[in-house]
Amino acid sequence: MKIIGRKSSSNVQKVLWALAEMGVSCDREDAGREFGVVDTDAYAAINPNRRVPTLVDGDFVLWESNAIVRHLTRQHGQGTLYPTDAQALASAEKWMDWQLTTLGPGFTNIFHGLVRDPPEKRNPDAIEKSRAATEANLEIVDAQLAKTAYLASDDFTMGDIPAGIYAYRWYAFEGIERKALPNLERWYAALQERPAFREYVMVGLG
Amino acid sequence: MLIIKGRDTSSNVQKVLWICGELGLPFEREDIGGSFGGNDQPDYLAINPNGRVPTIIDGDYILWESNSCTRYLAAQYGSDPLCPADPKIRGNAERWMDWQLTTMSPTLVPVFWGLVRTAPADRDMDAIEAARKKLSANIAIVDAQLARTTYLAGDDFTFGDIPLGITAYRWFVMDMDREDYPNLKRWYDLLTERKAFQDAVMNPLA
Repeated sequence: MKIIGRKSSSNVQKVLWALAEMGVSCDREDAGREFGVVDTDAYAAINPNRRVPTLVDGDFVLWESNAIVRHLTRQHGQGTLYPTDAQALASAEKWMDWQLTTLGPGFTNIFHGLVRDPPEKRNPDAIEKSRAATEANLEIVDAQLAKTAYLASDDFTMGDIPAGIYAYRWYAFEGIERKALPNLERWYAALQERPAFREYVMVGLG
Repeated sequence: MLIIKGRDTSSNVQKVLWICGELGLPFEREDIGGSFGGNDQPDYLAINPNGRVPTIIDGDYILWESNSCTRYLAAQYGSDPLCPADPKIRGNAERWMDWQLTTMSPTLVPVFWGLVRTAPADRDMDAIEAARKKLSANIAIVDAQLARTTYLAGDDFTFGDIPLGITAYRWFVMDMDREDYPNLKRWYDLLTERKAFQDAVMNPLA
C-alpha cells in the first residue's frame, strides 16, 4: 500500500495523520507542486483530477482525501477513529464533509495570500474576507466544542482530522487577527498532545 | 417520523428525498430556504449553524451536510448494495460523493445560476459558456468511469450514484450545448427508470 502526494499538502496530511493514529505503516511517494508527477499521463490514468493524495493498494486505487481516510479507518480503526454507532459515524462524516464544502473553500485565499503569494502579489481585501470567513466558520466549530470534547463525540474520531489541520494552520499564521474561541483552543491543545498530529501536521506552512 | 427541512428544488435536499424514496422511508418535509426563507432564523440556525438546507431530524438526532445525511439514512435503514458492504465498493461510492462536493459542484453552480436563476436579458453568455466547458470536462471524468462500470462504484446502484445523478439530470435538461458522453447517457437512462429518481429529481429546475 502506498500514498502518492507531498507531505506538505493538507489533504495528504489527513491520510498520514490517520494512519499514524492507527499505527499502520504505508509507503509514500512525493507528488504535486515542486515534485511534479501529477502532470504525467501515468498519474492522470490513476487520478484524472491530477491532485493529491492518491491511495494505491494492490489493484485498488482511491482518491479524494476524506474518502481515503474513511476507507482506511473503516478497516483499521473500527470503534476508535471510525465510530461503530451509525449516528456517531454520521456526525464524524458531517464535519468531514463540512470541511470540503465550507471550511476549506473559505480558507483558500488567506492561505494562498499569506503562504504562497509573494508579498507584492497579495490581495489584502481577499485575504481579509477569507480571514473573516474562516473566523466565522471556526465559531461554528467552537460552538460544537462547547457541547462535546471532540467534534463528533467526547472521543477523538476521524471527524476531527480535517478541521484539526485547519486549526493548526489558523494558529500558525503570524500577525492575523483572531477572535478568542476558548472551546476551539481547548480542543486544539488536546490535538497537540497527539504524537501523530505533531509529526504529520505541525510541520510548518508550505 | 423522519423530518426533512428544506425546499424540494434544492439539489442537496433532493439527495435526501431520493435516498428516502429508494429506502421506502416515510418522512415529513418542511419548506425552508430559497423563496421560502426561514434558514436565517434563530430556530433554524440552532439546529444548523450554516443556515443551509437540508437538515434532517431522526428522533432526537439532528444531522446536516447532504451527503452525510444520504449515507446515514442508507446505513441506518438500508443494506447492501445501496449501502455497500464491500469496503472497496464503499470506498469508491464515497469517493464519487466527495468529488461531487469538491470538484463537480463548483463547476455546475455557475452554469446553473447563469441559465436557471438569471433572467435571459441579464445572462453573460460568454461567462456561462466558459463555465459550461469546465463542467463538461468534469462530466467527461464521470463518463470515463462509466465506461468501466455500470454504476459509479461498480455493477450495482449505490448511494454513490446519488449526488452525481442529480448533476446528470441538470446537465441533460439545461438549455445549452452538450457534448456526447455515451456512457454517461447509458447510466442516466438507467437512473431515469427509478421511481425514486423520477419523484425526487426529475422536476422543473428552480
